[in-house]
Amino acid sequence: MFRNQYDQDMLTWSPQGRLHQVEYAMEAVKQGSTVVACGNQNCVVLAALKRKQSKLSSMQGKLFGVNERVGVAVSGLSTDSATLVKLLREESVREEFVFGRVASPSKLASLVSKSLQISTRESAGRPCGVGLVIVGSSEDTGCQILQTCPSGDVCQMWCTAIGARSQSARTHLEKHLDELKVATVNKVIHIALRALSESNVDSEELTSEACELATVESNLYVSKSPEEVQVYLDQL
Amino acid sequence: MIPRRTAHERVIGPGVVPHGVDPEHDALYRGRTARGTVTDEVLRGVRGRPFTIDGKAREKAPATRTQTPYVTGTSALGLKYAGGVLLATDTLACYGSTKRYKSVERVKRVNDKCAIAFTGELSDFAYVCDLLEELTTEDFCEDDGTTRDAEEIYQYLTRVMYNRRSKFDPLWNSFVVAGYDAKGEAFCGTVGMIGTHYADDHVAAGFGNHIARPIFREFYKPDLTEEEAVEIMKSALYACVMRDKQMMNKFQIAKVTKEGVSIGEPFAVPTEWGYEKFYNPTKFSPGGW
Repeated sequence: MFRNQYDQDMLTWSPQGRLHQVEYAMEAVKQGSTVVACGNQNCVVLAALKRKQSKLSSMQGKLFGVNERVGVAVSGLSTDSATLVKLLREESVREEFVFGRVASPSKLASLVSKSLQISTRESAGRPCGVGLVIVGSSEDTGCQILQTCPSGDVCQMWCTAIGARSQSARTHLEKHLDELKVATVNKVIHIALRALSESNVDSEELTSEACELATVESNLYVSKSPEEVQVYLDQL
Repeated sequence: MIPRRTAHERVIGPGVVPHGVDPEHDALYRGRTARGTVTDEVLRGVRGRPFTIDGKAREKAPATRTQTPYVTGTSALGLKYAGGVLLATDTLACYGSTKRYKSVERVKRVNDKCAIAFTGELSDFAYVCDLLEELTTEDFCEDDGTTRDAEEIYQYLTRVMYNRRSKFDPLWNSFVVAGYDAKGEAFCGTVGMIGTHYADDHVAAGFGNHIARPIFREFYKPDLTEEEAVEIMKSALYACVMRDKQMMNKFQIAKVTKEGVSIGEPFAVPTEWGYEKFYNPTKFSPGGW
């Protein structure tokens, strides 16, 4: 039943110096549906594949607006992500109330990181099985993509893809990395959607129902409606 | 000797009051015992309540020691010019009306983008400085390369002041906040004791609001040079020191520019007390003395 004797709690190291619980949590992220983010200084695009619980249910949303400039995509345990999204939104509101500022993506990412990291060194509870891709912009930095992982790690990325079969999306993004650095929003959206379709279940075409799209451009996070997504899909 | 009520404060307790001595007090406490309604006849033989200080009740009562200021600074002025913002205060902290501490720097540099000047209670300002230091340290630890700009500090102080006011324990200060906002434009604002706030091209906190601002209104224009701004500031300080008994003739002007904050050395302005009307100041104000 158990993989080994060192994975029962957060406090026990394996002799190889690994924390199995954290690694399991990272596996949970790989089980989640795919999220792709790519862009440059001026614009960033988030695209995600949605899933449904059963044929009878509706699709589960994966992109969440945090404030007017920042949005987040999640992959992994959706209930864990709900807690983190709530945390982000609350912090964002607090920042706006206390300092009159829209919270910057880097500040929000470091907050998530702290919250995730704590759960990797306390015996009570478990690490969150969710990966976040935070996109947004701030005056100082321009557009940013920040990726978090259950260990509390935060990386700033030009492009990234997390979730199931995300390797093929990453390969696609790597090929277009130079192109992305000078691309317009439309171009970035096309690359993101192509990368996403690479990760889609074999030979299935992307539908506007099954994928979600959001952009950050000129300091504004905009979530695209299914109709708009369809327009972009038709252009592919 | 007839025992008398010694304390009237509700939190300290009613004091020693035997029944019959103070009919008003009897009426107040009639029927308030645990056993239910007690008539005058029953109470007649009962001894008065002992004088006690109810510690629990005192803890519940709001603290009042900070509700009057003790050591205070008076006006603080702020004025934008083409290359930045000026702040001006005198260096006096008064104990009541006594000019007690004469070399107090009433301006604080918050960071490179922001400085504040205060009026009101000196110790409360020290507390606010602690809060701002904490904030700066937090930001430094965050290490994301950003510092809070003047507009954020202004908003933060507003929240702090309003929050304390809502606890019925206000910080006895008002502030002038000067510096740069997120867009890199000069910012000048004031925060009042209860969280009232506004930003303008020139502001004044304290008594100077009545004296300096008319001067600012008359002479301010958006393209003031630093020299012109300092001149206007000095004439405003002169007007203040001539009329405000809690002000002394030792001033500091601080400036916030793109290069950062610099707080100038203390200086005095020439004063003139020989005006004719000073000899008989109430000559034209009937009813004065």
